[in-house]
Amino acid sequence: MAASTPHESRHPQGEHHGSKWQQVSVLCPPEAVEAVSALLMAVVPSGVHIEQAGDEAQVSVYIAHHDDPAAALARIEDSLKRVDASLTGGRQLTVTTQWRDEQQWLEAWKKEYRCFRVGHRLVIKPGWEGWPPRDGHLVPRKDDVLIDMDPGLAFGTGRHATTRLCLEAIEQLIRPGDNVADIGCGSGILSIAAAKLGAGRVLAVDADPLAVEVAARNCLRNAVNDKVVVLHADGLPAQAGDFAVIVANINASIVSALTADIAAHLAAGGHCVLSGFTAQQAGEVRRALDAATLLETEALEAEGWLAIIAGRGNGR
Amino acid sequence: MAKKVLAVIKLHVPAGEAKPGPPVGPALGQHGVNIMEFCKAFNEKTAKQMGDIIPVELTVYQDRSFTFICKTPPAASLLKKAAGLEKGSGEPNREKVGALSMNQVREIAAQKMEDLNARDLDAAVRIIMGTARSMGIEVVAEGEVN
Repeated sequence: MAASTPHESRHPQGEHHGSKWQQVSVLCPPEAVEAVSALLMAVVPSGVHIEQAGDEAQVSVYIAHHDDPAAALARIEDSLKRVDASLTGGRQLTVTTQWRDEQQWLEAWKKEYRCFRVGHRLVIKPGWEGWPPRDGHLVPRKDDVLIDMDPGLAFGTGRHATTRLCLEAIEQLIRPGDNVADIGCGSGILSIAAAKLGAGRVLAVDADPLAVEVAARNCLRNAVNDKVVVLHADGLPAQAGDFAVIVANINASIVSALTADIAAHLAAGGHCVLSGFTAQQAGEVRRALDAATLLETEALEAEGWLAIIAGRGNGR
Repeated sequence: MAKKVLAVIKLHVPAGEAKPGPPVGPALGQHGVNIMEFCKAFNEKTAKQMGDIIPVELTVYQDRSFTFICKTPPAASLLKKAAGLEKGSGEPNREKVGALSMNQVREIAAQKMEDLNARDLDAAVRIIMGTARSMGIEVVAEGEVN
């Protein structure tokens, strides 16, 4: 399986250099921010960043180097002529440009992502920090289960409440030799935890090819690539077989849509862990669980987010 | 004890479609915020508003945790909706594309007043009128709106 094929075409400069973006910033009076934002988003729909200090505001958009920034800039300058004089006091708006490297902002938050504990035994260690941490901010224990993560751009740094809840649920549910499925695996963190906690075989699937690539790389990094199979798929393949534990940490509508499939693939006495939704959205998921005749056994909550554990009724 | 605020970040992002790329990435990354964590939370919260543009305000605390609130739609979206223009992007036409009454403008101004940081309703009305004109929407006397 070619799960770890790098996306050469997407990262022409190789994986250690991010793609380049042209930042286009418009300096304007605060009154003109709404108009400028709307005109900018008509050219660059991905969004605007607004900064304001006193009587000066700056609205910025970013154009990828392969999206012809010069042409986009010309369109921006042209449409800015439409900003009504009543908003600018008749003043000419200033447009500045600057090349930005994706690496800059991706590196910035890495500095803040450090080793931390989840559940009873799990320790999540980012790839860029040593173990044990040199400054001793975390002291190793005898039975630590270390998960070495380079989350890249895929979901699942372990820090988000839903990921932590799923890790706690997995730690509680997995018995040696269990077959486990991880739907929407993202960075692969839950699959790796399952494998390290004793699962026999883990099937990890994600609809995003980038996540599949990152997950496969993280499995290799944790030496669990013999136990974990990472597949590019929307859900569980029909022939995937039965699982003792199925985890899906995505969002309310997707996990709700998956419940029938999950029920069909759950071994007798097996459990599923559904997460990625808030307490307010849990109704939709609970209705879907009911419809799939899955029985909720426990709900874990943190920071308003929920993980629901459900089984087929004849629990372990 | 209240957590110390490190930064406040303002963005306009399409509902349900925040990605780690710009403008989210550079705006959050410079303050050490976990970019993907925000994207996931924002997309989850705004999934039902797909197609709309959402002004969002993030508060970043010293420990790099954050909270965010979604504001009322941008003035441009409210104006387009009131004028019965198609929502979504597309370069604005050079010509007048629609018309609104002063009452409609005043309503939108009242709705957006807080977000606009306007001194009073008159100031908000002036901003909304200017924004309308910038988008090719005319403000006309009552009765002339079709």
